[in-house]
Amino acid sequence: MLAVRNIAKRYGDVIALADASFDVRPGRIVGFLGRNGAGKTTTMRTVFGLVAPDSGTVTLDGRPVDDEMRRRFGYMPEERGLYLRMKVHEQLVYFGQLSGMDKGDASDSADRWLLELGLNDRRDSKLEDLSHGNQQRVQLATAVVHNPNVLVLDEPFAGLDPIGVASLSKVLRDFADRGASILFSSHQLDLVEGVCEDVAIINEGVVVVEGTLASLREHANYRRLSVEVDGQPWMPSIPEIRVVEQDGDAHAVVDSSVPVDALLALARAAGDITSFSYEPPGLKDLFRDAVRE
Amino acid sequence: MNRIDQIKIVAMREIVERSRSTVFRASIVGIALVVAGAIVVLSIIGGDDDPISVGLGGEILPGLEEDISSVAEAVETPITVSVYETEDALIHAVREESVDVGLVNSSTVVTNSGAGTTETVILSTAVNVAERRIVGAQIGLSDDQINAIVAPVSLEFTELEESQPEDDTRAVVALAGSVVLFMSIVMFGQFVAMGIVEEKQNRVVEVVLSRIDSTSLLVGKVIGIGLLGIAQVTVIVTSAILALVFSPSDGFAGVDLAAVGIPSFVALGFWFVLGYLMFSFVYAAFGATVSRLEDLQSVAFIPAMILLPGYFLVVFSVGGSVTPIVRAASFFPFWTPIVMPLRITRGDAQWWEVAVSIAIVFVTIWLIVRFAARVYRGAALRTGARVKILEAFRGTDG
Repeated sequence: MLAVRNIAKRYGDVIALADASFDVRPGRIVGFLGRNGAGKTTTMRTVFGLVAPDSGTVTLDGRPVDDEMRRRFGYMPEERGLYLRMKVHEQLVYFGQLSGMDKGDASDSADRWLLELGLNDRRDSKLEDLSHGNQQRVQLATAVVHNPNVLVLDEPFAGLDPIGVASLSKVLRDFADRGASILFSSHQLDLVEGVCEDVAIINEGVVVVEGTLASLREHANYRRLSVEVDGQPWMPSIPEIRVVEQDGDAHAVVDSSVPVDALLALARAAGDITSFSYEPPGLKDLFRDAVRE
Repeated sequence: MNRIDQIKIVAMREIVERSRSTVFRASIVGIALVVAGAIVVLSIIGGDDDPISVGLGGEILPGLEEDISSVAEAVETPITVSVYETEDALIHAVREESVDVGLVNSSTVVTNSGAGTTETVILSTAVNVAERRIVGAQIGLSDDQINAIVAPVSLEFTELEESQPEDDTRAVVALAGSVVLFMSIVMFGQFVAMGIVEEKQNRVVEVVLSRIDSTSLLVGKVIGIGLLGIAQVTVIVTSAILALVFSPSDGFAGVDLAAVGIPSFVALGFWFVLGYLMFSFVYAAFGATVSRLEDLQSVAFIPAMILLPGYFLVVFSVGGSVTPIVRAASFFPFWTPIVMPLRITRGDAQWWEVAVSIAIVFVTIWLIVRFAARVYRGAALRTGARVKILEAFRGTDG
């Protein structure tokens, strides 16, 4: 298990990280969420020793992460970058070797990934001759060519078309199924909801929410409520209900302490129920709650 | 995998990728051709080791022609003597530069712009010999007696300091060596800085540094580019030697390559390696502080400025004596690789002085590698405005 514990980092007067703690368990995909400047990239760089934290630890299976362990980590930084004039296959072999593979293994693995990502016909092209989408695929292949057991991806879905999203999701799923620990950041919350089981939400340098998406939703202290009576929107007149406006869309939320039966009874008393929806908050709701000023 | 393997992989990539570039290949061939061409042209222009040509005209003392030749032979100077029908023909020949010196009526020396000491001594001695021969005949001496009197006496020369007939060559090699050293160090140092900035500019540095530490990346890069540099300098020096050997003229006849010998070239390579290692890491540290190639020039001149005083010191000292300033400068590590070779060439440096200066350079390299790696780590992920080098140095604590 990759464990980030109480990481703090300050640049002069700017506090990049105040207290970041979360776990990435083997076989799990953790969505790492936060607003711009919340500390996601700094946290990820800390995992790779690219940023030396002022305090806190990063451990894998209880041992502090060192250079040797990091060689089994894969990383896709937010700022994508590869050698533009290097051929695709040679580039993958190079990064495989830097991660400790011998040349033959790295070459075989590079071939497998190029096939998997539909790039085998561009094997000997220079990177600069590839389309943006294909360059993104090579970047992904670079992160995984050495078959890492920990995968850290900073905004991996940014700029991908739906097919690219599906193919990346599959790669992540496959790695998780083989027992890898995966951490990725994203702003596309609906996408995150579809890909990962666990989330960690960071706000102003502090990880404020961490856990499985299902239990976070279940343990939220409110439920989304949407009821129509006689074909008209309806709301019970009780103090435990309020209207939340989000992205121009207004909806009612009710304290989770109010039993569903009681809400149903109130609705029935008002007329014929034509529609009734009562569900835990979605990731968007959880995120908004977590980063609220 | 250990650090050595990582360094090897990084260095190999530098060598393979860079040597594939057309610009790199063209620059090697281009520089080699220019150097060889320049040597050939200079040797043709500078070919002035022709024998002195003397013309005689008007009344010529009997036997003077032979006397000039034998006196010249006694002072080991090649000479040709030709006789002109008339005084006017001789003066015309001098004016036309078909002879260097004209002797009219065995008494007046005619030149276009003054006679050299050698010509003056040869001619006046020869005329004296010819005159005495005539006087001897007039007072009735036999030919043998006359010859005994006028035969030129060769002096023996003893040099109190050890004779070094190859001094010219050594001076040329020392000067050429320091020019090659300076230019190679600056050029390949710049290549290192450019490589660093390129990786920063296209952001690949973050991917690389997530796999290996900044010291391995830096050292690998410096070694890869350095080996290419040695290959390039070898090609250029070889082309220069070939041009000297096969040059159609003998303008560099005073340059005796055999006297310089292979050890000098090996030594030159050794000093290049030391200087390059030291400066390439300085270049790397400065290169890491900028984010775009366009900004590199604002910092890349600084390392050259550090090296330049040492270079000038050598250029201005090649012809003169080894001053205390030169001796002191040879121990300043940034100047050692360029100044110490001069002292060694002059036979001025004791072996322990060389050893001490090399030790100082090694310690300096070790410190600079640590400094540069730390600056690199502190600045590699900072894009945008130029990072102050000390800020980058302090920016990390690992």
